[in-house]
Amino acid sequence: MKSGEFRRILWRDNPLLVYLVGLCPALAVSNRLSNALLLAAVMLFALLGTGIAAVALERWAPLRLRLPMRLLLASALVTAAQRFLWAFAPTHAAGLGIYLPLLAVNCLLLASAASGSLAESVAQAAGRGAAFAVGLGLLALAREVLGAGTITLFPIGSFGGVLRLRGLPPARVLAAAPGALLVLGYLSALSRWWSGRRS
Amino acid sequence: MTMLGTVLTFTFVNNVVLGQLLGVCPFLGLPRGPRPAVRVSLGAAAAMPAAAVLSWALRRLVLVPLGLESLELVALGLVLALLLLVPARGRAGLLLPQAVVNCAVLGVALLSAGSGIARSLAIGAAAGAGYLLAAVVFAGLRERLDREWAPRAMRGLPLSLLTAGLMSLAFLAFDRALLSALGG
Amino acid sequence: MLAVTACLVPGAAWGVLLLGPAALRVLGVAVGASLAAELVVQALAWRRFTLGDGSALLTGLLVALSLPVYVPLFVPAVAAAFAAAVVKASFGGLGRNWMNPALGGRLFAAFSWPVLLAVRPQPAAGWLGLTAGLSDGSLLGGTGTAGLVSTLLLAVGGAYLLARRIAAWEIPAGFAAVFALAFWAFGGLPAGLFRGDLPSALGSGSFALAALFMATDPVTSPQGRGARLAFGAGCGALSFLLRAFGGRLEAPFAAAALMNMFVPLLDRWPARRGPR
Repeated sequence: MKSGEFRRILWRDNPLLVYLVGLCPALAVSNRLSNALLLAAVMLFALLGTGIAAVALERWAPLRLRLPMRLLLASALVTAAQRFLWAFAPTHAAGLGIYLPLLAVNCLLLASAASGSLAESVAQAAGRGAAFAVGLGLLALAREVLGAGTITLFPIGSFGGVLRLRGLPPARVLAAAPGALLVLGYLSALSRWWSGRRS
Repeated sequence: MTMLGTVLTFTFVNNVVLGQLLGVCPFLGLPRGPRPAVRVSLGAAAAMPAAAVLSWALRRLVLVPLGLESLELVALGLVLALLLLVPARGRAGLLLPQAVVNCAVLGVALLSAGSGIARSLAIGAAAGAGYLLAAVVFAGLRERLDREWAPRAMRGLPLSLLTAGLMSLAFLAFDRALLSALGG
Repeated sequence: MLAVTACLVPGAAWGVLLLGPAALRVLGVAVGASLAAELVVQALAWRRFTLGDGSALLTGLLVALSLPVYVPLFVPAVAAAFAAAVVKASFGGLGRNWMNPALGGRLFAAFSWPVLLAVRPQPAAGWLGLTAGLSDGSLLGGTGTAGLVSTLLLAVGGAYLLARRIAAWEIPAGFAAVFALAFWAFGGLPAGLFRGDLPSALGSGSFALAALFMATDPVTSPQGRGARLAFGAGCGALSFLLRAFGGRLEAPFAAAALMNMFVPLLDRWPARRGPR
């Protein structure tokens, strides 16, 4: 994938911000930056897995079987990721709640892949995963800073993981469900405006 | 929590779409106008109690006896995948994938973990009712949005999201305090 | 627009006289923030300005009147800015929003900073030298006699609006009727039916403000007579539920906002009975 294409999928055709694909878990876990980054990591893992397997499967499977097979594969990959997280980072896994297993039916994951070579499939998966991470990260950053007054990252060494910001009391609505929808709405408008300017 | 409390929670206090943010993708893609929206959402709304009961049965009859609870997601994925293979013509054929590959449906199946069959059914039915309610209201509002001018960057999906966000904001008025006062 | 603003003056003046300079500050901050927010959104997204139509002023005024006097000043500022920028201007401005902007702003404040808006006695630092009692979630007097006076003053302004057909009478009528009936019948429930404390329910400034000035917003309320009565009744029922059982101070505002969502559906309802 050329660098131009990569940049395009990150900004102008960002599936999360522009086309609003794969929303449900994105909206729900974007209340904390650490949750968002973790979910994006699992999404990338699942995208790569389904992308790689798809190249093999879709060469041989009839059209009608493709979506069910992707669904089954997605469930298996997400379950694997879930087991891994629960084993090594149970508090973070608990923080994601049911939204982690819900990735199995996520539109972004189940969307049909680019036909063609393994390399193309991997590149597309990486692009989508990066775009999702960027969109979700921005959403989570905005919501957590304005809605909770913190930035939650991962604990490393003596750093507990939570940066507390000083300032006015945070607007708790933004950290709750309405905030996800409202902030994403404005981020979406912003990315449209931005891509409209450049074209 | 009482059964009434469960129903009220999934319909109002923690509405499946506006509170728990499940099923938002198809929600935003609903046709304008309340009547077509109801027709399309009925599929998803009906699938929720079915999914809840199905997952209860799956857990009770297959997973727990075999000690395979950790494979719940894979089992559910298998069931959903099989449902997608069901030959369905016409309108049902178009609605089936949307009803199956739907965060809200799978979400309800997962949320009913640990509940008996009655409560699972209640959760599914309440979630379906909540989804329908939100869908009908949203479709009506979107019809209005489509008629009016709006700033260019906001047109379409951004305003749909803002609308859902404001609906969600209003729904915050239904909270746990209200629920317990009403005897839930 | 100007008429509605003018009709709010008696009630607002009472609030200011009772509560003192703090009330003036809330009013000033809210109106200023509302105008500024509209200016910014219009500069960025509209390329034309409509500040002169007075709607931003009215929005700011309504937001201020719906907040208690003891909130830190950033609350009315953010609430009014949210009302003007998000609930109104982002949707295309006057006539194109489906939720009354002041209601949206008030709810944003209510759920963002619940602790800051929680009920407490109001500091009466006004020029009348009267005590103000507990807040009812608005800038108007609160509970007790002071609240009753503010309701009456708002009713005077409201009556003018109703007489001039600027506000539809079916909405406050339905609102007040259902609210009063429900409160009277069920408000004293542990003790028995029909023992509710009617004066304190109706004497709430926030109720009068919502019923006469916010629910009646022609942009966010239905058209036909039956639809309007149903709208008002729904507001009344939800207000009662949220206040009596939910214990919410902002119950009338939340109720009206919830009913705003149903307006397109209510507007369709009589049409189904038309010629088939």
